[in-house]
Amino acid sequence: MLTLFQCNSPACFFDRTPTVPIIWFEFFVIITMIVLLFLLFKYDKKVLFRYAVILIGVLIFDFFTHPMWDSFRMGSWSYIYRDVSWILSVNLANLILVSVTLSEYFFKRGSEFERFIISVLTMIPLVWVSEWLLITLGIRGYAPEIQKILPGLTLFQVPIGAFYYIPAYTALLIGFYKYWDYMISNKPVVPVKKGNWLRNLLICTLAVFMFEIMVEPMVINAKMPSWSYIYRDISIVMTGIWVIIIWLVTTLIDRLVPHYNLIRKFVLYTIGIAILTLPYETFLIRNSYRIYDVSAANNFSGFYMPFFNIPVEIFFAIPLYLAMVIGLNKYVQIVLDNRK
Amino acid sequence: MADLNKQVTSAQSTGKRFLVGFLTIAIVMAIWPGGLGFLLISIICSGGMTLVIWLPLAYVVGLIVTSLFNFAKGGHNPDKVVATNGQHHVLNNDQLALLNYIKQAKANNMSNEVIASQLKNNGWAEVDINNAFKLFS
Repeated sequence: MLTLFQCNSPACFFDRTPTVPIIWFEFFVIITMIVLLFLLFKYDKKVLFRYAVILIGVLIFDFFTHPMWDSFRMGSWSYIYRDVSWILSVNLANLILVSVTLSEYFFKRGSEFERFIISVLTMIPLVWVSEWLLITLGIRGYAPEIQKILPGLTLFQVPIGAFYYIPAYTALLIGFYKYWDYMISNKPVVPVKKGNWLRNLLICTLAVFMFEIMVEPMVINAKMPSWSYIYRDISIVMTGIWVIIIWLVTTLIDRLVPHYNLIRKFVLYTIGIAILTLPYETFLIRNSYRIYDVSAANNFSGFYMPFFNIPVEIFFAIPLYLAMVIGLNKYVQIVLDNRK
Repeated sequence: MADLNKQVTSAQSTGKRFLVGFLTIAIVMAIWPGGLGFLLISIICSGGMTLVIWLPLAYVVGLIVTSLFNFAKGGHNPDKVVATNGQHHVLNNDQLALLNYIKQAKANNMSNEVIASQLKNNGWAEVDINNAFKLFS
């Protein structure tokens, strides 16, 4: 029975021994979280709830993107899965909480969408400094697939590609949080009788495209018609089918159960879309349209999902991936529907 | 007090859905050889992250099972029954959505004009909006 919980994957063997500066860094991250929550709790009694949602979003993100980078030498206490460190997740959650709070404080009179954009832009310097610190401390490294596609230019040791990468993933994370914030803050969300389907399709396309940019180094999208590749190996055909599934399911659920609250709808969106996308993704993997790179494959435990015959990690990563995309997609739609 | 009772009932029914859903999933997994082990491993080996999937799935399965049970009993979903002037109305999904929105918007100090204009902008007919306001009052 013990062998069930032993990790034999190559991804489990890395240096966990921390240096003194790394321990100080970890201490700093935890103290920052405590101070932030303590200060904000005076003004907002729901801040713990908000922070929990941000942290769940970050953990989901870390969980399925961890093959792309290394997070070593943080001490065995800090790892929750492979080299996914809860301390780094707390660090990113702290940064998001700061950016969201700043945008809400300084742009009170701005529209909800302006505050969202400001939050995403604020994250660029914050994450940049954080990444520089992680590289300097010897925690952060990048998978060979990432190094291969980077142009080699760096700013404060951080690859210049982060300029587009940071906004892409922080938009997904902040969008996910903002969707749940409607529920936490009990903000009214207008039910939609006749939606703007073209606008919603465009929003959905943008959300999926952002995610594709985020995970693109982990997979090779092969055997698609050459005209369909729009950026690196992102194919409009592959992505387009995802977009249509997500758009169709969310539209149908909004129409069929407009009285459901945001939690119930979110659960239905995720499960409805997963039911359609899992067989589609299985088809792509089994027919070598979607090939996982070495760093991602090294992280697979070797367990395969019965019936689907795909690695169990992919099976569970798909609904998690959807949760992020749905969060951003529905958040933007809600903001536009509720404009006064 | 009535609000508190309603919240307690709502929390109980949500808890019931999770429980019924999780038990149903566990029974289905137990039928498939090694299924329960897979459920356990998927939760433990991912550091609990797959609960993000199992819990919503349990909720949906629970929702389906309890709805089927209610339907078999011939009862209405209690969320859809509204009492006004001593009469009970069974609402359809659209009416309930409008009523919920008006309640929430009023709690956020939105005026009737703004609420009505928001609803109109999102494709609702004037007659539906007026009926929802009547039910609210």
